[in-house]
Formats: sequence, C-alpha cells, structure tokens
Amino acid sequence: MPRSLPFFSRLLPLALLLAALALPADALAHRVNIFAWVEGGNIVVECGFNRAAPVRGGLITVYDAGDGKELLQGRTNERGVFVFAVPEAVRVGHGLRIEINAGEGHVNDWTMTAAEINEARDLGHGFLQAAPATAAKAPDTATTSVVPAPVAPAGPPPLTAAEVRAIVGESLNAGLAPIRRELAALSSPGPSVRDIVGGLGWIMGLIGIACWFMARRRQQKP
Amino acid sequence: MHIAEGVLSPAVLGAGAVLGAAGVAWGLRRMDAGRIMEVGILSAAFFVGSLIHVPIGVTSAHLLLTGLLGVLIGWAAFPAILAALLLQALLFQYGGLTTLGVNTFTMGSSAVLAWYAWRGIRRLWPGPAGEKFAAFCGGALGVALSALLTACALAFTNEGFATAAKLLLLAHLPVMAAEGFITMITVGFIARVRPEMLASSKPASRPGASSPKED
Repeated sequence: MPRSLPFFSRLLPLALLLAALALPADALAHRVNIFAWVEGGNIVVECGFNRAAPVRGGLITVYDAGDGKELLQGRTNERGVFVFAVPEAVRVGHGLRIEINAGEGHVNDWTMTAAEINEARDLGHGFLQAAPATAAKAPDTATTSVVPAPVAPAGPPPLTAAEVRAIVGESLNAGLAPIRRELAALSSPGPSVRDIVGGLGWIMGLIGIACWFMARRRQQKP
Repeated sequence: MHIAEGVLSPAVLGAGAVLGAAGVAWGLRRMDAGRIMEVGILSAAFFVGSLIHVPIGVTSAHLLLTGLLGVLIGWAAFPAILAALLLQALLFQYGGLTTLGVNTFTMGSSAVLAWYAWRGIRRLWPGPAGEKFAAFCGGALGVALSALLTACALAFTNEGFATAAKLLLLAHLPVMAAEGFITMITVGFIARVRPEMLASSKPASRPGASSPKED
C-alpha cells in the first residue's frame, strides 16, 4: 500500500495548485447575509457571505412589504453595497422587503418597517431644516445691528452652516461605519459552539432511537 | 450546496422531497443494525464538515463529505445526510426546511453514486494502488456530483443550468481535491485498522449485479 503513495503525493499538490488558480473570485458559502439602514434620504443595503467577502454584483430586489409589489431592482457594487432613494410606498406607510440573490441558490432578505424608515429620515430631515434657518438668521442679525463684528477678524473665514453640517455628517458616518458593520455581523451570527455541540447531541440521540428500534425489531423476530 | 428557501419552484421542491424521501426509506431498509453507530458518526461528520472551510486564495468553500459518506456507508448515507441537513437548517440556518428534500436528494444520491463508482473502480483495479485511486475518485466524485445535481435543481430558476453548473464546479475544484485526499486517507486507515468495515458494505448487494435496486 505505501508503494503507491508517492504517485499521489506527487500529483496532489499539483492538482491543488491548478484548482486554486482556476478558481473564480466569487466566494461560495452556505449563507448570504444582508443588512440595510437609512442614511439621509437613501437606504443603504450591504450584502456579504461573511465579513471578508462582499457579494459583488448580487441582484437586489426591493418589494413593498404591504402588497408585495416589486418596486425596484439593482446590483451591488464591488463592496457589496447598493444604495437607493426611499421609495414613495414608504410615505403611504408601507414597509420594504429587500431581497438579495447572490446566485447558486443563495438568497436572503431584510425587512424594514415604514415607521423605522420614517423615523430615521425625520431625524435627518429635521436637522436639515434647522440648519438653513440658523444660517439665514446669522447674516440677518449682522446687518441689522450696527455693532462692528468683533469676532475673529483674522484667521480663516467662519464656516457656513452647510459646511459644518457636511463635516459633521461625514465624520459621523465614518464613526458609525464600524458600528453598522458590527450590527450587520450581529444580525446574522454564524454558528456558535452551542449550536454545534447541540447538533452533535441531537445526532447521538437519533443514534439511540435507531438502536432502540433495531433492538425491538430483533426481540420481536425470534 | 445548501439551496436556500424561496429559490426553487414548488414543482422542483415537491419532486425533490419525493425523491429524497424514497432515498431515505431505501437507505433505512438497507441499513444493517450493527452499523447504526457508524452511520451516526458519519452523520455527525457531515454536520460539522460544512463548518470547515477550505481556503483557496481570496475565497473559500466548505467541505461536503458526501463522497466519504457514500464510500463508507453506501445507501445509509441518505438518512445520515437527512439528519445532518435538518439540524443544519434548524441550528445554522443553512439551506431551509422547505428545501430539505431537494438538498437531501442531491447530496444523498451523489453519495450513493460515489459509492458505486468506488466499488466499480476497486473491482476493475485490484491492489493497493487501485484501492487508493478508487477512494480518491469516490471522494472527489461525491463533490462533483453534488455540484452537478445542485445545478440541475437550479436549472429551472432564472439562473439556468449551464451558469450554475460552471460556477459550482469551478468553485468546488479545490474541495474535490481535498475530499478525494480525505477519503483516500480515511479509507486507507480503516482498511488497516478495521478492514471488515469496508468489506461489510459488499454483501449488501451481490458483486456483479448490474441493477443496484435488486439485492
């Protein structure tokens, strides 16, 4: 038997190498994860097979959760992200069901209620409304009062409200990104040790049941 | 190779369930009382096997072990795979309950076909080298057939058979090699330690019987 081993041990690394080279970039896992959140007036969808492998070019279909109508379709980009404007149906109070089809039978979906979307959007909306109001007020007071502006005569010109908003929003988004990713990972946990040990326990139980049946059959036969 | 819920049409799901149930019933009938432990242990191996990823470059695919199950327990692979898939669907959310029948059929029948291939090669090429080659082919074939049958099940979706088969087969080439190797080593080990385990799958059907269903 050990005689034939060199033949295979010589062939196998070669076969493995060839296989690795011939491989397409698509990751094949057992499960595709999907996670969506509201960002301004848009909904951002992120899909991945796991943390490291985003779904590239996966087909996203957005359905009206209320009447099941298809609202829009699109494909994820290189980072597994797809962005779309909040559809009209949400204003009527319908939720959304976002489905990802990553191919080879990998499908998953994510549901958002209308309240959840509107709440997040109102937050951004209120912020947007408040900001122009203060921006409009600032030059107003400056022109009506005759007092010469004592503030910062030297240095860079003061930032406008829009600029502040943009900077704050940007850094907020950057700061929230890892939290979103963490949430996405938490919303679709992989199998834990508890699941694995539990499953093995189940199989042991099934063996026991099978043994019991077989023993009974054997007792009855003779 | 776990097809998720909501992909297949009811007709495919129904056909898969019927074929899967038939395979499980036949496997249970042919299962020898003395081999329950073996079937259970291999079921556990299949259950855990899909958590083991074979890393290849930037991506990875998980082990299937259908070939190993087929070679070691033959038709009993059907009930073993059903139990493991049911637990994977419940605990890991791999696949799904409605697709249980289809998934059992694709992987169970590839295990059984790998078993017949293994036995055929063993008979055609007796001797140690033939034994190794047969086991390697059995393990690799189990994966290849699973990919092909899964593609068949997906043929009726908008994806089409050709694309699905190409993608699945290409991505599973490393898994095929890995499982061929695993099966070869396992069978070689069992042949040394407990040769009767391999021999006992023989009298289940007469050597030379052309039809697998008659025994």
